[in-house]
Amino acid sequence: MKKDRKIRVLVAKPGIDSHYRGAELLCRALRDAGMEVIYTGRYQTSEMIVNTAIAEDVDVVALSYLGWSPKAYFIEVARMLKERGAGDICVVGGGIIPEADKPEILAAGVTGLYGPGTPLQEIIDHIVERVKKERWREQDSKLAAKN
Amino acid sequence: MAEKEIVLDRTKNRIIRLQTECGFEVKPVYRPEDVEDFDYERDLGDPGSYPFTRGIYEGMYRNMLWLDEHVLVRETVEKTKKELVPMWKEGYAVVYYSGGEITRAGIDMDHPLAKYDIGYHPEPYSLDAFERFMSGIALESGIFQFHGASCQYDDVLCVAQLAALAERKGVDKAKIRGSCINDPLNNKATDFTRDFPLEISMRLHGDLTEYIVKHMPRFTPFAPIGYNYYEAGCNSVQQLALILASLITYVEVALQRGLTPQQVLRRTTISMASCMDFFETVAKVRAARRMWARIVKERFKVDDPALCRLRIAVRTPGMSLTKQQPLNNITRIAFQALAAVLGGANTVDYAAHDEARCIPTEESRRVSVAMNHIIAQETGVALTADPLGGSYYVEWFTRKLEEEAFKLMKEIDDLGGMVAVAESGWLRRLVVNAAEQREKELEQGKLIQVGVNFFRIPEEQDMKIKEYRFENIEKVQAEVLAEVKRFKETRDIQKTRQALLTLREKAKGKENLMYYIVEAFKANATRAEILGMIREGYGYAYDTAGMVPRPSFLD
Repeated sequence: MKKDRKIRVLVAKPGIDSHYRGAELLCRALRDAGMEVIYTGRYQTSEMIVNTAIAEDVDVVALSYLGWSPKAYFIEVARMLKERGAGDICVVGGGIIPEADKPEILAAGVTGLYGPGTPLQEIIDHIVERVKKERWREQDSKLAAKN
Repeated sequence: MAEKEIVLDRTKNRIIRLQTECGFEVKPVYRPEDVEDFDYERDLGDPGSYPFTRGIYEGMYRNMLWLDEHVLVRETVEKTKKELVPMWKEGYAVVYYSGGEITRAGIDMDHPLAKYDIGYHPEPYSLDAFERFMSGIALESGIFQFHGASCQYDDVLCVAQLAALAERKGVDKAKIRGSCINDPLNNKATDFTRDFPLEISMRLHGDLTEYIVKHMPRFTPFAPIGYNYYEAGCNSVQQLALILASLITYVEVALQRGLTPQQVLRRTTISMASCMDFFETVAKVRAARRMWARIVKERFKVDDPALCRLRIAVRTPGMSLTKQQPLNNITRIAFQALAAVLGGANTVDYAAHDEARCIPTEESRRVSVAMNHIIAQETGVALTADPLGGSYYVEWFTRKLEEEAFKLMKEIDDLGGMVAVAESGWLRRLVVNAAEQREKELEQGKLIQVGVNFFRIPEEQDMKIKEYRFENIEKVQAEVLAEVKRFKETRDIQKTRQALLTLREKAKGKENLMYYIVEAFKANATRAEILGMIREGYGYAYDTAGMVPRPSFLD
């Protein structure tokens, strides 16, 4: 593993939700934390997000959605990534997420859910932990097995 | 072994922030010299007299209480009415409506981007759908508040639908009361919803203003929304400056179209956010009235005091509410609303304390409605106008906000005015930088939010509240889609086509588009079709998201 390897994050806004502030603040915070950030902008379908994530070979998809149904989009993106063989990409989601929906979303493979007032550091720590301890380690061991 | 004793410390709890929310340093006490050369007649005047610092009406709340507003829209018209009708019967006079996320995005329900957002908000996608929401309401009696806050064409379309409905029902439009926001500069600055390019938005803005002034004289044609600037991160100085600079622009647009100051300045209205800083809210509301009165007199050279009055709606901002310890939000909303009333607001719009967690429940809405009655009937603050007027601190604060906001307005003027700074990106940068500044202050603990960066409690010990649950959403979604399909299939498509093609032609010219939008609604066009035709008239693609083609019946 290269020492200066940077975590690549796709910050994405699914559906027609137009609240952009959370996504933009997150982009800034992740960049400040030394990550490479790609922002999809608004009005993305789940297919569009998954296509971009795979084409850009990102480590993380961070979904920002303050609309009606975070559950539907978060689960759909996680499922589509798995179907496309990219289930090792870490998926996190932010928005107003009803407590009652959380278990189902987490069970679908989304590892972090964040509501208003979450310290950005908490999201950064989670991403670093997941990517370095799981995705990269897995990739490295696969690489080692090949060699 | 004896248990370790707890040491109680009376001095542990100290004020952390020694500045106002907008960043002014505050002294421990204010004295007469802080408001030197203060002149009662020039700086305050009695309530109802120029410069209206103490309120725009002589009797203020004794004659008429402020109007209270509560946003309430449920999944279906039936569910919404079930909660609203009892409120209306108890004296609540507001019909508050806007497009939901789908029609505000300029798309119809059968668009691929809409699939998971259907069924949460009765979307006024057609005149029939709008009529279903308004059914059973005597149009002349209500106060219609259209909230195209995040998307200017939402107001254009709502007012066109209301006018079309009045024509359909044979009601005189001139009798209908209410207001719309109609503030495209704001949309450009906060970039909230995908909107038209500013050139088209400003044309529709002018068309809407002209239409309302000519045909609906009891309706407010524009009420720029300072609230959005606050929610986007701006402080009170920026909020005041941007909103009054916008108001100047809109008045100029209306005058350029040949409307008279008497027509345009009769119902001047803005909205602002209260902030958590109590006296900042009070001072901000007072400063806005005085600044506007001076602008009308000195800039527009209008002497009639009746035309110098600024009506102010104050909204308690959702952004100030916390997900953590949600019941604390009741305290926050109460202080914000109280400050608005003490500042002399004409309308107070209440947030619900569970907003950071979920869609407001019936219970949280009731708490807000009752809060309004408690402020109005129990606290005694409504008995006399501007009870804080003359306080050294409040007068210093009011003047300081006025001075700083006028400085920023001068800067905007020097850069060519609001349209120029919106086009150049200066405005957007100002808003983004303000948001980052606010976020930094919160992160660094310089701006306090109890439960977030101060007095936190572990998540598992946090307050449990009942969250609103959407019921049978899949069933509602299927019904909505079936209804849209039925509507599109059963309308007289030749009539619809004709009205829409006419609209597209007219969009290329200079005529007022409102008349053609009203006709298109009466011919059963949908919102997305209407917007698509305007876009095409200007040479843009039919679909705002660039994902679906123009419907074949319009080829």
